[in-house]
Amino acid sequence: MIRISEKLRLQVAQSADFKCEYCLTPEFFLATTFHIDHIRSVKHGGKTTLRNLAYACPHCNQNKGSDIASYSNDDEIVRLFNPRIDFWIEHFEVLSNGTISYLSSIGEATINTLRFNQLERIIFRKSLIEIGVIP
Amino acid sequence: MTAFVSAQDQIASFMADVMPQQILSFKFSNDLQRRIQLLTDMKKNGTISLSESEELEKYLNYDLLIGLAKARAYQLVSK
Repeated sequence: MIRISEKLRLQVAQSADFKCEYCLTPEFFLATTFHIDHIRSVKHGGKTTLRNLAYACPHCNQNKGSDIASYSNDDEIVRLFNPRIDFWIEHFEVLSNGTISYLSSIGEATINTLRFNQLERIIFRKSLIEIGVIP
Repeated sequence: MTAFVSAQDQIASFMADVMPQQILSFKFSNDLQRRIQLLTDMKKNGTISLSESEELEKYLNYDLLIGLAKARAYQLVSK
């Protein structure tokens, strides 16, 4: 396990506005504290630097594993969403029913790998939409 | 709506109705946060056992249940 200093952890959290950088869930609305994810995993040579770290809820983090890419529906290998270089709204869209739909192959691969649309997560996300926390 | 989802909904509503302020500020204990972080790391590097994986899944289900209650509580106190 890589040790991450409290200072670096806080920097990552603050730059993410204390929201999961993958599914946009605010940390305030879960019982868990969020994790620091290596966007490019250590296994694949990722460094512990601000440019390679993302704030992630445990739900996204555990599903992402050490993955950096996945297959699209067309059997193409597609990299996962990278919060440091990609814009969320170019790859995903939150629907009023609580699901997140994809706008790109990167979005599609990320939604499938990180299991954004698991039933319990959809129900929770819908409740956040209803109170205006997720636009 | 499945029976399981309905049960989650009922529990979340009950918690939010009875103690909205406490629910809003609720976080798992530091020990439990460390356990969840450890299990997540083990899952990420492929060293997690089946029983540990099931344990992690339970914690994350509780997390979403609390999340649902927090959203309800937020709605109540914002009125």
